[in-house]
Amino acid sequence: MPEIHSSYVGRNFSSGVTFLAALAVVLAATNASAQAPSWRVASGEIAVVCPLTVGGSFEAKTDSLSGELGVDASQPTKLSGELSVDLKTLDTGIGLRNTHMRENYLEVGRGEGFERAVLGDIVLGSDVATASGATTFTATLLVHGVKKPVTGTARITRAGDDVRVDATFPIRLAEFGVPDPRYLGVGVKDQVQVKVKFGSRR
Amino acid sequence: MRATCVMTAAVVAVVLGTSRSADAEPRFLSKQYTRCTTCHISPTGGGLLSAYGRSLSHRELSTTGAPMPSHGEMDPKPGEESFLWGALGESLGPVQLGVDLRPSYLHYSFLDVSTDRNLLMTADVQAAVKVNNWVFYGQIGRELETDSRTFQPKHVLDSNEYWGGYQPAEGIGFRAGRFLPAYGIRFSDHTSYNRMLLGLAQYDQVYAVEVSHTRGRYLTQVSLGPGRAESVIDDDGRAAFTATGRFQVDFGSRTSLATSGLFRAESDDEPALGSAGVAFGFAPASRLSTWTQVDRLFRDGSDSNAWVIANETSFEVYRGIWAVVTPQARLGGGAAVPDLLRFGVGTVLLPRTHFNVNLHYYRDRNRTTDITTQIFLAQLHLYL
Repeated sequence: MPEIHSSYVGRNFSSGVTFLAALAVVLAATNASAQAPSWRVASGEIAVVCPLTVGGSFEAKTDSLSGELGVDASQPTKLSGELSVDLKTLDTGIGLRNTHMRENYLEVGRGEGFERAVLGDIVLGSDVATASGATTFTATLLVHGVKKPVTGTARITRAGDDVRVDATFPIRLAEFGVPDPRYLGVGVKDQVQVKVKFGSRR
Repeated sequence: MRATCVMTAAVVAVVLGTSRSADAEPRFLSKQYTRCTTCHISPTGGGLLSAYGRSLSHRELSTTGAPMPSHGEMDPKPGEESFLWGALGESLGPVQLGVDLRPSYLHYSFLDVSTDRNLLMTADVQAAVKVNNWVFYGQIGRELETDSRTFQPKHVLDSNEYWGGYQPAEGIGFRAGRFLPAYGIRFSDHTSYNRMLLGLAQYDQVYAVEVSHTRGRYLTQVSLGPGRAESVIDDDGRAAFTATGRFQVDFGSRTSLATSGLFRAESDDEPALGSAGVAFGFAPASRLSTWTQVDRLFRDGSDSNAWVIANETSFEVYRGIWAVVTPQARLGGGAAVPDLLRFGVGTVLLPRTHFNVNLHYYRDRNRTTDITTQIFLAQLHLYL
């Protein structure tokens, strides 16, 4: 039976601990990765409900929503990544309204920061990994070249690996530097409602 | 001779009952317009178009309308869409004017009788002054009447609508004068059962004071007054205190619900009567809208209160070309009130700004007498 040298034991023990520690880290990381909800937008829609000054409202819609969200390792309620929408595709069903909205108010022709609206820095009211049902959230919204915090509500529905999110939040156009929308006596009120719907697969 | 007089009177009645006057256009719910006041000066729709309404006809609704304005052109100069094609420029200031002309062809068949008429159904001038939410509105035009002695048609100059009041975009407003009270949904065809059979047809304006409140997606309108204006003027024994109420809520930009009530007190010639109903509008797509109104009529002393149901479904086949289907019915009124069934189809063409062509066919069947009436109306609608 070979003699077991204490120093050998000590060296082997040290290596074993290091190995186990490394394995634990890898396993932990792997486990975390398996649980982290990486939500790539498979299909989505944005609707902006614009109340009119004369009563009633209209919706500007687009399905040009893209982006990927993942859990932020540093904060379980925070989603890394961002959602963005091509504002040139927003459609109200009326050509004149589209032209005014895109060119005169959103000024999509001004380039970066104006062509797309970007929602990022999303923090849910509950842990991302387990969030389900109604929750609140905060985020930052970049639109019309201005980035501002927004607050809203969301409903998260899970079915297996599929996740569906319906979120809504109000914004004030003036806060984003959008000119007061008005045409021949008919205008849009300052506060509009943004509705975001998307489905994703983890 | 007597047969000729009766036939003439019948034709006049049909003419009075088929002109499509002062179009309100609920079909534009599919374009996300739930309120009359976006395009019309009157809070109950129809009549004089607002500057926005004129522009919409020019830019969006007519088949050969103008292209989109260039970038930055937010308040385009008066043009084709303006009064008299903008010939007066901006000289009118706060005064808004409109001329409504409707040369028409009418074919009418009833039992074994049929007849044709070419006539100018409408020739109206409409005007409004709007300053700081104060609005004064008036209309004057040529009206077709039946001479009570000769039964011959005659034209008279008269005004059906004139009122003034405070009409803010939001909050509390009021108006007083002569107008059609707010009730249900105002189809452009005033012979629709939900208008004609409820006493809300072409010449059924009331003298009243209307108080309204609008906030966000809610609109409330209440009117009180001495009753139908023509009855008050003619002292025909049917004038009586009349009250109406209408509450509209928009569930979205393409879904709207309106509940309404009308009460008319007992007059010298009529018992107390009224109606209550619900109108629901829904536009499932950007080219399709459907409105349905259901009303229960009541009449003091009657055990059988009739139901009136009217639907109008419109589909925009191509820009400025609409197909319209409208089934309607009055049922359950008992022996004294005949059951009526209507099936109407038509097309509304808007080839050029304010130049509309309406082609409509109606088949009305009286189930009690088993008599069917068929009406074809071709109408050129010029709005200057």
